[in-house]
Amino acid sequence: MKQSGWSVFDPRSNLRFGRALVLACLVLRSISAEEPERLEKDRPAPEEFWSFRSLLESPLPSVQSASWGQSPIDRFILARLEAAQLEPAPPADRRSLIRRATYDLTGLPPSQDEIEEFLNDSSPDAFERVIERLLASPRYGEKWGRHWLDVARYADSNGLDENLAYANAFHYRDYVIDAFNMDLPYNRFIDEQLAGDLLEPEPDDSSAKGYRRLIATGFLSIGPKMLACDDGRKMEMDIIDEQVDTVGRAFMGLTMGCARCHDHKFDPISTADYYSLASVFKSTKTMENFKVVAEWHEYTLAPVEEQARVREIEKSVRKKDQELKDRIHQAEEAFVEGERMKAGQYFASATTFVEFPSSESAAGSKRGESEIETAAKEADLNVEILKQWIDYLRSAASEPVKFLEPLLHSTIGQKPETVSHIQMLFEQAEQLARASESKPAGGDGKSLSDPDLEAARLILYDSKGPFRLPKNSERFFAKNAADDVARLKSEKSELEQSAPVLPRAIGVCEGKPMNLKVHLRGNYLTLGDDVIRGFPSFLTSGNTPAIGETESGRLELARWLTNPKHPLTARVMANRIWLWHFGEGLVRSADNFGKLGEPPANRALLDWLALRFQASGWSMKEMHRCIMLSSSYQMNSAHNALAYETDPENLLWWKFPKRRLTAEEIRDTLLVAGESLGSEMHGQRLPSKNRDYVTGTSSKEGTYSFPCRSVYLPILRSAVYDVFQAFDFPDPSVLNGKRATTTVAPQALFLMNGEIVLQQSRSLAENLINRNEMNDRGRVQLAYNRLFGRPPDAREVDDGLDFIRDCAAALESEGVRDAGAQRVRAWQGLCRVLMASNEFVYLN
Amino acid sequence: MPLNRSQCHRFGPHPISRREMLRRSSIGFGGLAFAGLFAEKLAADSGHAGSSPVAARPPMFRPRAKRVIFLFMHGGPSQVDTFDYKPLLKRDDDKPFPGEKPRIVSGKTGNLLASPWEFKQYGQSGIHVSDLFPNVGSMADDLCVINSIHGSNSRHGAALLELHTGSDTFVRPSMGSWITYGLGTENQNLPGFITICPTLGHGGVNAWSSAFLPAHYQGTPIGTSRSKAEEAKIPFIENKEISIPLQRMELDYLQRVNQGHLDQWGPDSTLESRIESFELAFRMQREVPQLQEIDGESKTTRNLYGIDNPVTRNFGIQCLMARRFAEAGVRFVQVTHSYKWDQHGNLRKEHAQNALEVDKPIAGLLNDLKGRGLLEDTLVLWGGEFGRTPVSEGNRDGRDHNPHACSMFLAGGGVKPGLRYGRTDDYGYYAVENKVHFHDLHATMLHLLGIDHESLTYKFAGRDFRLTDVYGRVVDDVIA
Repeated sequence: MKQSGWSVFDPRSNLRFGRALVLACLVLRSISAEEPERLEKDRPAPEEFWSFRSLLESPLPSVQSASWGQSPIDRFILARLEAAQLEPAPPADRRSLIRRATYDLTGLPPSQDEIEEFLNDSSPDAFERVIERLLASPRYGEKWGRHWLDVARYADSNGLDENLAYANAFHYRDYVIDAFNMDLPYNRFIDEQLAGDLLEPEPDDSSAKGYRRLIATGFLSIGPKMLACDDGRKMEMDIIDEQVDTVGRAFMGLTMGCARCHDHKFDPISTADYYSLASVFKSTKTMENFKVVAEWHEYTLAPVEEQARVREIEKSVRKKDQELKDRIHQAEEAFVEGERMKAGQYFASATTFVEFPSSESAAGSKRGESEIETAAKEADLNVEILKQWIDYLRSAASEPVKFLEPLLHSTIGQKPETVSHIQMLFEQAEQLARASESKPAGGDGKSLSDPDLEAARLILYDSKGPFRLPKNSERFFAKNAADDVARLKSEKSELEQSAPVLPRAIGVCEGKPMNLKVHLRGNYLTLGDDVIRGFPSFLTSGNTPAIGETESGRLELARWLTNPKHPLTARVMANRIWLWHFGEGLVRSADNFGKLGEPPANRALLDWLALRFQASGWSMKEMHRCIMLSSSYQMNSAHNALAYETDPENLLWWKFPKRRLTAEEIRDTLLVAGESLGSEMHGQRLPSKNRDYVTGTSSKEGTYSFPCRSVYLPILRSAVYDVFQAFDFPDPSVLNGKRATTTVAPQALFLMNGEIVLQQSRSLAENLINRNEMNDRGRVQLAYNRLFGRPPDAREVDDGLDFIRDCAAALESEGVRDAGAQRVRAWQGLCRVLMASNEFVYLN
Repeated sequence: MPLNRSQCHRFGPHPISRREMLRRSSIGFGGLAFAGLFAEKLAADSGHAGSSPVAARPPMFRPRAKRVIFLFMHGGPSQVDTFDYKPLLKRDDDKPFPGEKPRIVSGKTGNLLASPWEFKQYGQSGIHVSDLFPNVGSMADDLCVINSIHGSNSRHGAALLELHTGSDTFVRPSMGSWITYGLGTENQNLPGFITICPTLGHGGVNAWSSAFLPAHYQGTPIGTSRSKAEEAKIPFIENKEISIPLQRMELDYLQRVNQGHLDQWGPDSTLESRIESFELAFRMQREVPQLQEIDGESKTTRNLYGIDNPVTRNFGIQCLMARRFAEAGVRFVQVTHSYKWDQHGNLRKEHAQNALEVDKPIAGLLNDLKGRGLLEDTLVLWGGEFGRTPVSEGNRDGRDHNPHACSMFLAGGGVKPGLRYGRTDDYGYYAVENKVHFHDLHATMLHLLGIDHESLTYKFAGRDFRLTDVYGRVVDDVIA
């Protein structure tokens, strides 16, 4: 094996191996020689590579077994199985099927009633009606919208270097959920996300819904950005790169990003192609600026007149605010000025509270707060300023001022004549300074010629000295000043309240149209040839819409992508839909349809699905019906040793794969079990203001404690909810069309110890105990029904009851004497065990 | 190529069950040409260790180090005040920097600023260390100080990511994740990659994230930079409501329920390994807190790490934990001294305070590792995300970020002890001789661990990714 063969650590090395076996020995001989191609060193000519060629309409393959299958899909599947001398798995039992379908379309378990109804419905269209019911449920968009949000690398914060809140990104998330619920055709979904701002406004543009097309462009902007980069040009090109890469992989399964620095090594994407597309985004305004920390663009979701009105009000608020600040400043000056005239008295009074190093008696120095207050009152001094004087004198010993030295260091210390001498100095300095208006301390003010007087003046006007403005000085304002300030404050707040807070959404708009030059090795300092805005030349084949001089080209990009002749758009999405139903795509590298991606295991089926998708008007819901009503979807997931031996990876789909619930499904199902899940849709639950740092928010109490569905919880890059993290929620910084499923110990720790599990298991336990109409056998049965969607058999009931008994006894020996408490905790234990079990988190 | 490198079935969606695997490896593949090969692969994988994706794996060649402890000084310690002695900087204090300042800078800077600290030569090697690090200085003969480290980005977030992941542009797996991916870990009751009190800002989780590598290689955080070391915990490690015996009882019941399910729907190795994961979690739940427990430590050890002194206590506990985890078989342990080293101002006071907090614990850790014979095969790395400017910022008591020169030290794990390597210009502004980029540092670390940095790859989004991207050079000169 060659040197780089150490990448056999590649997780797919084994899969490759297995795949090679299946494909090489069993499949290839039965299909045309044109597919699938294996890796080659050279870049393929576009017309040579399967995914760059047009969609191919194949006749339905003929099969021997006429008894199996109810959909064209099944013919494609069965033909392959027969060629490998395999048989499809028997149909799933009805409980498994409704559980599978309900999770599949809504991410939630079926209710007991729904299960019963389906079990008792013997009509031939029973399952079809289940599917229709599920597709009509708003829960559908919450599940399938989330699939797309994985692709869209959706998050509520920037992540990367400066983790600022995208507090207005949630509109995009809600837009996606609604788009799925309304079965927005996928071609229009693409138009809106890439160029919603350039489409004709919808008829109901006056309502909040009218902004959905602007909101849709959030897709381009919610990526992670390096917001603090001293090199602004690098920052801009990195943001554009992220957009090019995301668009390439999301819609076409193409790794365009590779061509930033050099022609793509494996796919026919040149640097010119890259910078042509990058020019489209260079001509698009994503950012307001590229300073440190940079700001992204947002739309205000309100009519222009409303925005203008608010801007007017904001202007008045600023004006009023200035007025207020000026008035406060004036009042502060007046206050300090007035107090400063009593400089001598302050000094004299303060000396009585200070213990000087040289003094023999410690008289006065031990007096506290209340004595200071009394002294201030008696001498008509301000208590805060007096305290500042005391502090000043106390610290003066370490930073000596010459004329204070006799007081601080000589033996005459506190002798009255020293005090009154210095007192006089202060008084004089104040008067002279006031007269000559040489107020500011230090440089600017006119200094007094006598050095002692000048030193005294500096102290009196030092902005950090004893006459600095005390905290909360407004309480010391003269009455007329205080009245003015109060009036101005209330006027300002009235004005503020008259301005509605207009909703905003993250999104892009048109920038200054321009073309980039090729950046050699990706570096903007080494520029190469000019390019013009456009799309990868090897895919355009005559269908390239012209981009006007004044346009960024985003609309043309969308139109180009959704042209039915585009070989990738429909294929990539049809594959994603299959993947999200079956757990694996027909092309297993869902985000890579290029040379280094996986070849399609069943290209004829993939193309059939893609054509069907287009023919249905790009309807997602039609695709669900089409797939779920096939026998292939309805197979059971049982192990079959013979089939396994031939095709361990189930590449030929001889069974329906088991799957583990996703992070969101696990949390939501726990909440359903504890009867805690609410049905409120949409909205923002981020505990941060827009553009605030969200670092550490994950540890904030309550960030994730909403009883809403998981899809509405905040997604903070760098601080993803730990429950999500534990169960393979994808890194929200990276586009991800296919989630991993790992089995790691932290998942077990969560199910053993996690707060949600403790809460929901207690809630369910209490619910069970309160069912006075049933005995403990009935309770075990109910728990099984609730959590597994099936009744337990007799042995399982006995096991459960044994556990309850043993657990109560153990609690007793641990000192839990109260029978009620024992019971709750024992039943809680039983619920927790069922919640942690394989059956709870795996679907058949 | 040794067969056991091919950890083949680990990531499969429905990998082979153990029972099935044994059966198949004995039967083989009949008429297929490569049946023999396949059977061998299976046999190699059927051993117990092979069942975990983080099982220890042999390196590519003889390793010098088996594990890494990375002491990360977040904020950017100043090289010219610590390990990069520059006599001319002292001579030319407050004169303009005679060279050219970088094209891109993060802030405005003034004239040269001499280090407020004196440098002394330590040990036989005579390595210069400033008065900020007297204890570390006393270990000079064990250190390999590199003065010529450099990155490219002058902002914390980007520089931090560059140091931890090799990229200041995109989200990439962190070095701890790469290393755990390459070598697995030696104690299956513990995570393979632990980060103690990591910082959440400036890239946060990306510094220990596995990004597109499988989640097994994600770093496990213990607390955050906001938690006190002694209160830092692994998520969900504690059950606040039930005792261990009761939990054991629950687990036994759980495994009965799971067995029933498996009997009906198996064989399926995913279901089987999930059953095992609960046992592992149960063991981890006991083992991790024991490793974090410091009450039983001897007076000598406490003194060594400065645990009884309030100033050094926190970092001391972090270092002690790091030693214990390393000793227990964790592959990569990071210890973060949180975002403290960013002295744009207040350099004299705060750099002194920071150094005081870490100097003794670090020396304690090195000594302790040495005393236990662990330093030989433990690679210790100390450093921040960048260095600082030799010119001043603000009112001559601060320094700006400087990615062009940064000093780090390595110790143990096969590096040359008592070596001062690489050189900056006369004032310590730019690395000029034997320059070591972060990529080179990564390549060298992997090399010491017995991994060829060009061969440790992972295919994602259509291409093979590496920690060092298309860069990286092993710095042979620092290897013993």
